[in-house]
Amino acid sequence: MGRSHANLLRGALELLILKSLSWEPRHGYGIAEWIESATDARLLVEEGTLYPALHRLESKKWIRADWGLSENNRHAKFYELTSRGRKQLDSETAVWQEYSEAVTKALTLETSMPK
Amino acid sequence: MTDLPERFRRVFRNPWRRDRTTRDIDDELRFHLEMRIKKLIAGGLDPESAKVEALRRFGDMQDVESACHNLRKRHYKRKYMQSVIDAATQDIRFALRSLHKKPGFAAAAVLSVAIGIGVNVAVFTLLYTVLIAPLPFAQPERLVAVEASAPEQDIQRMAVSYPILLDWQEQNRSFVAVAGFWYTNYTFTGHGRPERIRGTQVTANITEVLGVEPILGRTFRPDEEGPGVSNVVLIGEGLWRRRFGSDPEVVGQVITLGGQQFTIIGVMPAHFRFPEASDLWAPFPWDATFPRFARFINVVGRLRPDQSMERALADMNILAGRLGEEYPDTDGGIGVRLTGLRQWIFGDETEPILIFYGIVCLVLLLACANVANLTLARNATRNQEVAIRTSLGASRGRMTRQFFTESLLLAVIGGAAGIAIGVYGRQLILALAPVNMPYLAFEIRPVVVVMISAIVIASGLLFGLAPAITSVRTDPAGTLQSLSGRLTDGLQKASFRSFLVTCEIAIALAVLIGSNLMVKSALRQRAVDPGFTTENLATVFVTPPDANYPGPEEITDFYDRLLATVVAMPGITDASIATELPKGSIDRSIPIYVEGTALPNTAQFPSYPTQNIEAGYFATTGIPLLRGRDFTNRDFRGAQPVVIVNESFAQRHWPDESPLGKRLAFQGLPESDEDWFEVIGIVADTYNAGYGGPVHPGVYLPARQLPSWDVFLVARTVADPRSVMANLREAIWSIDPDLPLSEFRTMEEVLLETNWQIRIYSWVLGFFSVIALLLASTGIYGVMAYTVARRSREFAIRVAVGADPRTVLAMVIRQGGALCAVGLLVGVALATIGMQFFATLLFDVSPSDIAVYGISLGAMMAIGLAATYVPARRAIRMTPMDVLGQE
Repeated sequence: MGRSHANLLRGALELLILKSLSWEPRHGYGIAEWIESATDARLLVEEGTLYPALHRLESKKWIRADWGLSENNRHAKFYELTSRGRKQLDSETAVWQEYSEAVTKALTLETSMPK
Repeated sequence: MTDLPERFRRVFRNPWRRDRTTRDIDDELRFHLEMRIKKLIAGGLDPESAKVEALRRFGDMQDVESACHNLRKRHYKRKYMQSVIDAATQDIRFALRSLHKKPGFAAAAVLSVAIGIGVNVAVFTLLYTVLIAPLPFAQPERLVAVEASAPEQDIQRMAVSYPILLDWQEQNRSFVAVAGFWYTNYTFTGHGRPERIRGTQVTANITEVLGVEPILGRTFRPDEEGPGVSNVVLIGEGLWRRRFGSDPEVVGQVITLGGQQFTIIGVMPAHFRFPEASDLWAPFPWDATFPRFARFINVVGRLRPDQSMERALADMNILAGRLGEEYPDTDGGIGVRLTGLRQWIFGDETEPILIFYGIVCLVLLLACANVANLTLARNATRNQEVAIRTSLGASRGRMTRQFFTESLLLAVIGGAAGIAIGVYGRQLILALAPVNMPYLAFEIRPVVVVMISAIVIASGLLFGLAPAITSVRTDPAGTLQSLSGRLTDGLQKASFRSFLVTCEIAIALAVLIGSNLMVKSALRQRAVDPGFTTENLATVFVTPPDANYPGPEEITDFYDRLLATVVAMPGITDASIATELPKGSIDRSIPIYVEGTALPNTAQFPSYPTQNIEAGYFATTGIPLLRGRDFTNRDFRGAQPVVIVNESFAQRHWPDESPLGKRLAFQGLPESDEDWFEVIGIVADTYNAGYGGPVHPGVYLPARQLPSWDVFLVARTVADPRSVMANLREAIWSIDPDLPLSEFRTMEEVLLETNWQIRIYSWVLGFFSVIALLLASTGIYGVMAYTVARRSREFAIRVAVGADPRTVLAMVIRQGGALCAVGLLVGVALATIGMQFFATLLFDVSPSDIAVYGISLGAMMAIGLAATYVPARRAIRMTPMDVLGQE
């Protein structure tokens, strides 16, 4: 799994983070867990890449961070979706779907010239 | 290099003293790893392999850490900027609110600043144009005005003749090129009404020397200069727009100038009006055979890149010496004088403008002092606010910033208003100055805007500094305890404010003295007897084109018809013709030889101011004829040449005998008896070398014997000359409807225009002094009102326990008086020093005129006392109940 792969997936990763937070605030590890189970552990190969993405999203004010207590009473940093982030999630989801459908359709074509 | 300590910190990281960002990132990542390990162990791995697996799944720890770190840093930076902007917005909003709460203070402060900055904008723009702005030519610093001088005759600057110019052009070794020019006016006929156009005759290389390109067409070719070779002209952008509707096809069109046909070869850009509001340029129509003694051409040269002014001067003087040997009659004893072109153009205007700017800066300082004063007075009542905010945790820095924000806000609002005033004031200056200030394109340029912004900010800091320091220094505990600290605090502040007021009074007095000296000069100048009757004289400039009036016969015939028609008009009693109006200066001087005196060479014949007049000129203008007779119709061409001299001329040359019958010669020695001019009359002196100045010996020549095409008609009217102007115009056009007429003015208007300088100075300075007085009196009033408010409790108690109210009144007035007295003393000193620079602008008034000083001092003192009296009255009117009621 090379770097190019990671870059390619950066947009997807950010989108998934937003999605994971759409239900409730989570800490980084919680987000990783969610992504792992939601994607059958196929996407987030290096968990570390999650954290720069989180900082980027925070800078963009799509998510907000705050220190809190985890479920096992540990000091942990929790992330929460802002209203701006929620809007972003909606619009990006739509874009992503359209895009992936188009790409999928193209890649699964069997004839050289579609009608 | 800068990140070296950063790296050290990373290497020797103390786990207990990591910075917050690093700690946060570490904690977060550690939490992740621990949770993962826990989960892996729960899934059945042993702790050691769980740790290895967790790290493997995490990826490159170092990478993630530094990526997070960089992102954080950027994030904080952005956040910090945001917080600065937020704080500033908050400060400004707060400042606006607190200004809004005291509208009187805000208005006074803004007005002070606006006036201070407004006059600054106006005068600085002028200063910039005259002193700093580059002339609109290529490499203007290499352009030099070249003039002749005759040191032996004490003549500093002289024009040159065409043959001399040609010699300079060919033989000099210092200039890339040398060009000549002289002012000629042209009568433009054809396209619509006839018009007089300011034009210039030039050498063909003038555009090359100045480095200017036409916006349309081409410039002159060398072979277009000379007699009868070409009739080509360049026109200015203004003329092109006005008379040709900016026609792009104008090049090649033929126009009629003075009855001659000229072909337009190009259009010059709008900024090119060389030498002075010129709209038309034509090449000289002469060659080397042109008389060498006829000096009227101005010369400008472009220095070679490697040549200095000194070397050029030495070189030119050698050349002049050589020419002097070659042509001793005309060039003997003639030297050369070089002046930088800017200096040559603006020389006379620089000094007054610098003086003005000095005064304007004083006014701005005064405005700043005043605002500082007002702010201090206002802040005195804000002690409690400051104390409360400080004790609630506002830092001193924060409070200082707050005060500066308020000051800057005042400065910016005032500055904006000031720029508006400045733009208007600039137009006012232009309107007040009726003469054509050359090259004053006079627009507000970026440099000026930058400069003014700097002034605005500097003045904001200047008047914000003192209040900010003194207010923040207030001891919060003390202020809150004593609730308002009536009797004890504020001594230091009061003394600082007294200092400011002293400065204000001093500056205001100095400006007042300056303006009173100027006003007195203007009055003195008005009172000067011009030597003739100025009332009820109408004047008009008549310029018959020589195409319609080709010879002397036609033009004298025209004089006859013109005068006959005008004198026949109702409401006009007398009329005559002259080449110049008796406006105080005669521009034309010609060399004159007085028969019987020693015979020098031609170049050294002394020159005398001369004008050509028609019969009846003295009767019309009221210049007394002292002896002999006036010119008459019989003094025509071919008759005995005659001349009338002024009293000074008679005194200079024939102090002990009758001048009548003496003989003069013009422009060289006469070859025969017919060339001698006989003196037939002596008239009283009128000013011919500056109004109110010394009178030079001068002569009047008969226009009938030496006709001139460009003349003034002077008509004496029964009533207000304005009332006959329209009729006069119609009457003249009834003789010739194509006759260009211009400058319809009464003689009084002519004199006003001539004396504009002192008048404009007295107006502008009068304006400044009113502002200065206003500012200073509000300053005194502010301080005294403040003192009275501070001590109102004390005064009320004094009066209540039986003190005579008048004693209290006297006490307050004495305090104000003392303040004034110090300011007045300093002001007199300031004025005495400053007025030394002023002496050249004054007219017949000493810069240390006792009466002016006395009146100014008195006025300033009266204003100071009045400003003290009002608050003092208030002090004794208060009862203890009033004072207690305030608390």
